[in-house]
Amino acid sequence: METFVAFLKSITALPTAVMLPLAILILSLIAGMKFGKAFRASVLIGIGLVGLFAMIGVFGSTIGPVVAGFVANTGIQLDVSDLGVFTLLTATWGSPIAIWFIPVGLLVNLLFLALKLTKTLDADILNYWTWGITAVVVYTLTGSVWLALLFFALNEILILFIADRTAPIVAEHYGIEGTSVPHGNAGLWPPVGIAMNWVIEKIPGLNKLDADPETIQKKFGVVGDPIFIGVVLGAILGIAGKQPWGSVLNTAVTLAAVMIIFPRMLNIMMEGLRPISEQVRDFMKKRFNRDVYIGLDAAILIGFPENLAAGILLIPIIIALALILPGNRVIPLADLAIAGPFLVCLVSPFCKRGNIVRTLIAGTVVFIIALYTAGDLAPVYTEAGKTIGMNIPEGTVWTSIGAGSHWFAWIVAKILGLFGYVL
Amino acid sequence: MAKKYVLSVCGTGGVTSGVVADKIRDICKRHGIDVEVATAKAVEISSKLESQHFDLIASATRVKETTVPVMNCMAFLSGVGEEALEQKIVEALK
Repeated sequence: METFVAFLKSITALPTAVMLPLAILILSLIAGMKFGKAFRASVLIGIGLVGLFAMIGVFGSTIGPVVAGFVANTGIQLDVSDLGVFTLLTATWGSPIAIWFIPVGLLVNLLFLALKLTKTLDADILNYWTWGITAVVVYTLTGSVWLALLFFALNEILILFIADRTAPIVAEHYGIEGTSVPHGNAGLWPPVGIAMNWVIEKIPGLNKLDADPETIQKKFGVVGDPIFIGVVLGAILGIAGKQPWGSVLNTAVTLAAVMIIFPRMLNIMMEGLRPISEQVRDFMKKRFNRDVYIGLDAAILIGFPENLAAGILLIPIIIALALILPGNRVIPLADLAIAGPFLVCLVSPFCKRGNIVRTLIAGTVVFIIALYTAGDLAPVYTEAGKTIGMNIPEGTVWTSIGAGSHWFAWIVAKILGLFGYVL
Repeated sequence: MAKKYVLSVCGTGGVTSGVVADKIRDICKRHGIDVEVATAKAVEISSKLESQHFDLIASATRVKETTVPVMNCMAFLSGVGEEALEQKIVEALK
């Protein structure tokens, strides 16, 4: 028994790039995949993680000091760097409790399906980590695996509930019949869309406005290009931080590099996760061959014209919000290109079916909330990253406005705070 | 049989169009269709069509009518109606 416990301990002490592939390999074999295929896919996941870790190192060591210089020189108190959804993803999948995300996520989903408490069959297991954000926050604050997994399950149940309720309109709007989108980040925001649409409907004049998404994309498309955002934002940061010109250019290129390379690394990881994802989907479909919604990734919705158009226009709005919102500490960086379309993709169907003006107004409200929640949780994410040895310079406090703006995790953290669980 | 050219599009020209492209390559291989699949953003469709001939646009987003037939390929992502879509693609490219 003792050797067994010691063995389990040595497993949880393994580096992320080894542990997660190992967990997926075992899971794939249980799900009946051939060893060769399962092995290759698992190693790809490890490769993606190694790449993500390396990029976080590059990003943190270049951007961290520049942001510190920016704060010191301008007096603008934006001392929390938005290192992006990929950094938070790495901290979450890299957590010692990540090994439980897929088993617990599947168990809760299957149980709720069996009890007919949900209609969603969440095949999008790649995104079970978005409930893991809550779990990591709880684990970092309390150190309890049980509490972390309990709140992981509660987060999943909340998202399944929202996905079920929003499915008819979302599926009709996007032409994806028989599906729902139980995504842990995007799926948190439809209530804001419904509320804002209701308000706008009451305002004469405003309720008549709309814009053409295609024109916006054509005219301002370059603004939404990650390379453009990276270069311009990096240069502005460097100049405002009074860096030498070489460092200004280096910051510009590095920020652009981060925006391009992070998604590529994630692609490698996704390629590895796809076989097990499809295996699980087919397995679950066979056993629940009745009226269910297949749960899909929100990523497939960000490319719709209304979301891309709103996303482009939200970029300057997010930057302006960061500068004027009282008490905001977050400087939007890595997530600027992606957070807009991602967080509005389940809001827009409720804004008079993709009305750009309404989506933009609702999106602004979303990001007012997002900046505060992401900023407030930043120390917790930073601590979580530190405990798994992420290569981020001492003193850099980071978050992700795309995924770290998780309002459920924020509420849970506040409740735990009442019981004395603080950093 | 002549080689067929398919343009797989999604909003960002990234992961989703890649998944759809993989599926189409796989289907064509099984049905003995010689195919070349390119990926692109939806806004790039018209410029792509000007520079190269395509037989089919496989779309995972909403696109406007073009001179080339467009097929909605969301079923590859959800798995709902996947077999029917496979049939339609084979017919379109045969």
